[in-house]
Amino acid sequence: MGLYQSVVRLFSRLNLICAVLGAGILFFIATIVFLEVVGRAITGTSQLWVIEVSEYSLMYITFLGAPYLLEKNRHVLLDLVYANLGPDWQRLAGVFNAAIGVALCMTLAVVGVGVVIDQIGTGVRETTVMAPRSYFLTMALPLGMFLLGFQFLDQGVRAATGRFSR
Amino acid sequence: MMEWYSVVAVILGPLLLLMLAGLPVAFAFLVVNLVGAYLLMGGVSGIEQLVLNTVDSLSSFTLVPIALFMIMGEGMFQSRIAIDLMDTLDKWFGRLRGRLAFMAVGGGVLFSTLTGNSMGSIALLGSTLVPEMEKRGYKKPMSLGPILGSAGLAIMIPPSSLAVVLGVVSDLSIGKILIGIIVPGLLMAVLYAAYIWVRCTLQPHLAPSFDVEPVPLTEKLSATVVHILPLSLVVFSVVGVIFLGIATPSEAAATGAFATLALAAMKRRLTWDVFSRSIFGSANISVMVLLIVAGAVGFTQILAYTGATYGMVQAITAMEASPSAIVAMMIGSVVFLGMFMGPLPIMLITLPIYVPIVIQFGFDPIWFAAMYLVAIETGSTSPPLGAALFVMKAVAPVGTTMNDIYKAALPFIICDILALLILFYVPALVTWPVDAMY
Repeated sequence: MGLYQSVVRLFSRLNLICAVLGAGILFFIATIVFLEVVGRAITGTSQLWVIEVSEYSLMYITFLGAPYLLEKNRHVLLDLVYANLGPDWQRLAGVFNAAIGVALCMTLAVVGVGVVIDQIGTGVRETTVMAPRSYFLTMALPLGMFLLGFQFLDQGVRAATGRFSR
Repeated sequence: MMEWYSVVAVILGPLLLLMLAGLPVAFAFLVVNLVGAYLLMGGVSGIEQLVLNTVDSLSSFTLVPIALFMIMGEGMFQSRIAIDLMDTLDKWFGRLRGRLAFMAVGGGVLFSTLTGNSMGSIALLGSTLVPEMEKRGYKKPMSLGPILGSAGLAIMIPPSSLAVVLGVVSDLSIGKILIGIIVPGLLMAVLYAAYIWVRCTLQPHLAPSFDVEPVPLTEKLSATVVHILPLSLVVFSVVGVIFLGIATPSEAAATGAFATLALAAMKRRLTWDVFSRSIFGSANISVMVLLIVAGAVGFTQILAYTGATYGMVQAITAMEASPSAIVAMMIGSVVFLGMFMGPLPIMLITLPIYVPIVIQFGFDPIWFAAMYLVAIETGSTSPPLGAALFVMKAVAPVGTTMNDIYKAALPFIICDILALLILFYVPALVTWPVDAMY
């Protein structure tokens, strides 16, 4: 169990680092869009990459931040029924949700890795002005899904061992 | 081949079950999308397509303002600028019962001129006003409800990003739509205020009036100069830059975010703690919203792919009825779809079908457009899955349940339906200002 706890702490730290990175990217896109407006007003010229980089950044903000929010139980829930369940039923629901979550995230992570490998192999690029390699964008999804999958696994373990309550 | 209603039941049933079991909303959407993609879109290659669609749905510049307006909201809250604004308005509102709820409506109108995006407006109003309302002892129907209702005014008061989308998709004059929706937007605000007044009169405990000493006029004026006047910097940085053609509405979200941080700095409140909390908090809320958007877009694609959406629209429009009744059914179908889908997909699917029919019937399409936007706003605040409800949940204080939000939203949905009925029977409220301008 000691090893498991160490792994959980490691992932927790990783989640926090990713979330901080995501927040940094958010401030970065706010800054570049702001500078684009100011720069265009002064010089009359536009930086074409600003919009594209902002769009791609949203992917990273989302998938870097999602595992941290799951760890902190801050994703939006429809708690009409769940909140009124007794402790045993909540535990059961916790294990069920965790199992579904692990299956979902690991499937998307594995398929996502496959898509990324395929995109690296074919060298496909986005059909935009910057034309970046597509895998630069896609790889955020399997990374986030892998971390989310582990977080669901931990929630399942905690629910099954009775050390879990939302 | 399954009938559309069977497809809807097969898709919607598991989705609701997963949500009710306590699986986070975004993941419930993703599970249904995953299974749907596997079964309906060719096995593993369907899942690969789902991965690519999810990446595409998030990589959109139209979503950038959602994230950046969060910085405005969090910045105003963390640096207590919003609290100062509310305290100052409080001085002017005096002992009026339910004044914070009225301020939510007034703030909703004000923020609507700032954002043009109802989700961003809910996030901004919710994160700034609700904690203060809770502190003052307001019950949920008077704290969450007015914000849910009035934040939706962002759709109805220029600059409205959805009005622009409507004009582009339907090939209607965007200028006429923007003018045509002003009176309906103000009508909705008046209805909300009237409801708040009636409810607070009948049930005073919902919005306790906190005893305030009479405030001298000089103090009111000085508080206004110190706390409200500087906000014109933020208003200008959002609305001014758009009207002067300096920035697009999406870019104006960034200038607004920086103006908010600059204002906090001028008030000597932009400490590292305030800054980092603002950015980290807004990133967290953005992630919640964006992940739901990604799931919802995929879900919409599954609905469209199976023909369920088309079936729903067809079933409503195929009914034998008078033109007016069909228009009413179209508006009703938009409200209905809004309970399950986001505004943009609904518009993209229904407008190309609805608007030609309206024109063929001889109705004024601008009148229809105004009602359509009210219906979009109504649907997005309607249970069980109206998009605005989940944004509200994301920014509401800890302990707020979806049931609280549903109950709070209901009276404002009734106000919206009342507004729709008034517009339906008095088209001049939309057409007269347009005719006067053009």
